This record gives sequence, C-alpha cells and structure tokens, in this order.
Amino acid sequence: MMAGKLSSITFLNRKLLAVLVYLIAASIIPLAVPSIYILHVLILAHIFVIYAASWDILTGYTGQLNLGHAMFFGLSAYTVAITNTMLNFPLILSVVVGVFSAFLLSLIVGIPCLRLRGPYLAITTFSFSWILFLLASSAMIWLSGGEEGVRGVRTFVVGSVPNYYLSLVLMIVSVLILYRIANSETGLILKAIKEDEDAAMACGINTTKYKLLAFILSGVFGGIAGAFYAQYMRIVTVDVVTLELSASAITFSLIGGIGTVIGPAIGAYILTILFEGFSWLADYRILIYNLIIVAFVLFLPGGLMSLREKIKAERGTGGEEGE
Amino acid sequence: MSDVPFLQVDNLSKHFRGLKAVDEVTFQVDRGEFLGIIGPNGAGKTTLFNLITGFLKPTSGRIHFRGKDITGMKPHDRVKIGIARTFQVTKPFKKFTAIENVVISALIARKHGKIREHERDFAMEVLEKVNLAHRKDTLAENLPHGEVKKLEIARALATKPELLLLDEPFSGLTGEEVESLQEVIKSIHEDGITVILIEHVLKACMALSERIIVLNYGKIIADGTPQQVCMDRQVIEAYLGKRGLEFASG
Ligand SMILES: Nc1ncnc2c1ncn2[C@@H]1O[C@H](COP(=O)(O)OP(=O)(O)O)[C@@H](O)[C@H]1O
Ligand SMILES: [Mg+2]
Repeated sequence: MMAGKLSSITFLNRKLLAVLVYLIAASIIPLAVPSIYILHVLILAHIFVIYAASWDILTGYTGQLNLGHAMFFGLSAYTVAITNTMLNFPLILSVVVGVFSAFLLSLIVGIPCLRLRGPYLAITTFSFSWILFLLASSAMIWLSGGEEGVRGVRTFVVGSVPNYYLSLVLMIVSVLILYRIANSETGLILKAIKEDEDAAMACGINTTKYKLLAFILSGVFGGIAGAFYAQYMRIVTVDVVTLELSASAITFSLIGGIGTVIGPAIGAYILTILFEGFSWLADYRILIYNLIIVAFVLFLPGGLMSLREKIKAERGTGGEEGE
Repeated sequence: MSDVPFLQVDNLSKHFRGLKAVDEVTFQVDRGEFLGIIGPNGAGKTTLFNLITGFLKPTSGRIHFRGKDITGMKPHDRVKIGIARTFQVTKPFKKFTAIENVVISALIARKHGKIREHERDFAMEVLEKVNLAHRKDTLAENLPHGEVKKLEIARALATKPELLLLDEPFSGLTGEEVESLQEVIKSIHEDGITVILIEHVLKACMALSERIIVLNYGKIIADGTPQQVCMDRQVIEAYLGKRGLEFASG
C-alpha cells in the first residue's frame, strides 16, 4: 500500500519534472541553437501539437471517428489568408474570423453527424474534408489560388525567434485547456459516450449536447492551429486541406496514444521533427515514416503513453522496483 | 393528485416494417408497485421498455408518467424525471472500473440536484447496495457476467430513479446468483422504488412480482396476480403451445 502510494507520488513528480525540463529546454532552444531551419521545424511541431490534441478530443475521447480533421485547420487557414489579403482585414480580425469559420464548420459537420455512428460518421467527416479539398484545388481556384495559394498574409511577429515563442505559448495554453477539459467531469462523460452511447444515455447523459461540444472544441482548436499556421507561413495552399494532413492527425495520435490528449501532442511533436528534420532523406522518409506507424500498430497499439504499463507488464508484477 | 396514475401506457404500438412488435398495449402502474412482464422470446418486451425509456419512438399511442405526457421525450430527460433502465444485453463501460461506471450516473444525478453528497461517496453506497463494493476498482471488462448484471443495476440506481425497469436481470446467472440478486431487487423495491421487471426465468419473476402482465406477439394476453396468470389458459398456450395445453389439462 505504502510503496504503491509512494511510487505513484514519485511518478507524478517525475511527470512534473519532465514537463519542467521540457519547458526550460524549449525556452532556451532559440538561444542555444540559433538555426532558422531548426526553429522552423519546431514551430511547425508546435502547430501540429495543437492540431493533433484537438483531433483527440473528438475521436480519442468521445469516440467519434473523424477522418477529415484537416477541414477545420484548412478552412481557418484559408479564411485568415483570404480575409487578410483580399479584404484587407486587420490580422487579428482575420484570425478571429478564421477560428469562427472553423467553429461554424464544426456545427455544420457536427449537427448531421450527431445521428450517425461508426462507418457512416467516418465517411461523412471524410466527405466534408474532401469537398473542401475539391473547392480549394479546383472549383474555387479564383478564391484559393489553386497550387499557387493565397500569398502575402501578414504576420503578428516577424522572424523565427518571436514566432517560435509565440507558437510555444499558444501550444502550451491550448494543450493545457484541452488537457484540463479531458480530465474534468466533462472528459469522463465524453469517455463514457465513447465506451457505449446507449449506456451513456441510460445514465442520463445528453449525448447530443456532449458530442456537439466535442465537435466544437475539436473544430475550434483545429482552427486555432490553422490560423496560426496561415500568419506564420504567410501563404496558404491546398496543403492545408489534403487527405495527408487529415491522416496525420490520426498517425500523430496513434504513435502518441489515442484518448490521452498528451499522447497525440507528443506524437505530433516527435513525428513533425522527424519528418521535417529528415527531409534530406527524400522519399525514403515516407517509407521510414510508414514503417514506424506499422511498427506501432503492431507492437505498441496504445502508443507512447502506454509504454510504461507495457514495460511494467513485461517485467511481470514487479514493476515498482527502482522507485 | 392521487388519481393521476404513476405510469400510464395508452394504445402503444411499435411497428418494424410490417412486424407489430408492440401492438395496442394499454396498462397502468401504480406508485410502489412491483410489476412483472413475461412472455415468450420475441413477444415485444424489450421493445416495450425501449418505448417507455425513449430509446425508440412509438408508431402510435401515448405514455404518461406522473400525469405528464412523455411520449416525445428524449431518453436522458426521462432519466432526469426518474425513469431508469438496464439492458438485456449488458452494456457496461468496459474500460471503466466498477465505481467509475456508477460515478457517471451519480455525476449526472448531482448535476440534476438529486444528490447532495460527493458523487463518489454516493456511487460507493450504491455499489454496497448491490454487493459489489469489493469490486470497486475492477475494470468492468474483467467482471464475471453475474457481477456485470449487478453493475447495470447499480448504474441505473445511481440515477436516483422512481421507476426502475429491469430487462432480464437474471438471464445467464447461476442458481446461487439468482437468489442473491433476487434479494437485492427486493430490497430496492422496499426502498420505495417502483419496479417493472421483464423476466424469461419465471420462478424469480413470480416470486418478486405483485402483478404480472403477459405479452405475446406484441399484445397483452393476461394481466393479474402471479396466481391468476399461471392459471390462464392463453398463457399456458403461449408458453407450452396448444399441445402443452392439452397436456396441462390432462
Ligand atoms: N430494432 C428492431 N428492428 C426490427 N425488428 C426488431 C427490432 N427490435 C426488435 N425487433 C423485433 O420485434 C420483435 C420483438 O422483439 P423484442 O422486443 O426484443 O422481444 P422480447 O424482448 O420480448 O424477446 C421481435 O420479432 C424482434 O425481432
Ligand atoms: Mg428482450
């Protein structure tokens, strides 16, 4: 009893310690490694952390399989870019409108999806993102600029270092909010819906309300990531609404651990660094990337977050030693 | 006040394509009653529960609970006004521990102002009520079938119901488990909760119920005390077939 309690305390402290070490390291990186390229990769990592964590709230926590998460990211990014460049909105207003557009999309997609379960939901979310991709890549080129994209978006701060810190703060705040929600009463209710929707209803849960809440949270934070991306990159192309981007929300989360918020965040961070950081490997990196995913699905389906339990289980019951 | 029936079901029907699963069913339940519903497989018992709890919309007919028309009400709103259920095919939150399963209901009950205390303490009380306290930290997926049945009841109880609908709680239990669960259900009824029990295993149902309704092909074919129902010609026919009737009457 005592030993169990003690080790869980030290574990908590270890987690806290890990977070602290990360925060300190993350804050001094720009001073220690003044490489624009490395900072660029890390800024993208911060953006995708928000993106992956926001996907997890809807799919990992609430069990509503969303195969088209890029639609929230992409719509918001395009809205920021278009309102800022063509309508000359002040950037802050563009960002507000961009995130709001993701919010509206979460209602437009979420409301019909409330009645859908399983594969029907998956197909519907996929279709919505596919429609957005078609609009951006062909039907509405006059607005989206097609392959060329929308160029000349203004930016809040100029340069890699300020953008690095801005994205770091945005990431920390976003993940903290999502994490707090996931570990609150609301998070428990969302998980119950994932476990069994009928049983959740029988417990008195208004499943419609909570599923819509999950859609909105997921859409809004996906939109926040997209809006930041637009102002940082200063150009928005069809890349932001591709199938690949939707798929990466899933792979990030799979690697990190679905249904944990922190897991998908860690997965996004690591994979973005690997993928962007090893671009010199050219096409091999896609091969390696996919091999990593297959390896995880086969050997660690719970993702990195399940690593500790997995090691514990393999050592037998004596998992507490050395603590 | 007192002439308003507790539960009033009027001409309730549910058709699945051509099939009349529930066919013009009318009955009343008084507050504090213990009503058994029996009938052969496919008689429409579960469908009737789904209609009363709002999981299905009726083709026609109306349902009143304490004088209020609840026919169009959502399942979670019916829980809020005091109607709880269990499922014939159990639906535990598998990755939750036993106590977390119950905490979910308790949490909602607290949000509805039905309990004052901390939901975990209340959930623990409910687990004790169904003799599952020792299993509180066991994942639902690791519980044996008999205990999952009890967990379902605990989860329904934690919503603080006035009317509790139990769909075949004894199915798949051993003789010993049936007896212990029978005691649990009896004590729930003694706490003042109105119970409607669907049961395929007649013995337990006969022992617990004050009144029994017999369904066959979606219709009520008998309604009375367990003794009356047992003697009913149509009931024997439904259960044993015509040959059984000939056999029973010698
Ligand atoms: N969702 C459904 N769709 C179509 N038919 C159904 C559905 N639910 C039940 N039925 C049919 O309605 C009839 C009554 O079923 P049910 O209420 O489950 O009976 P019981 O619980 O008395 O065994 C059966 O013939 C069953 O096949
Ligand atoms: Mg049934």
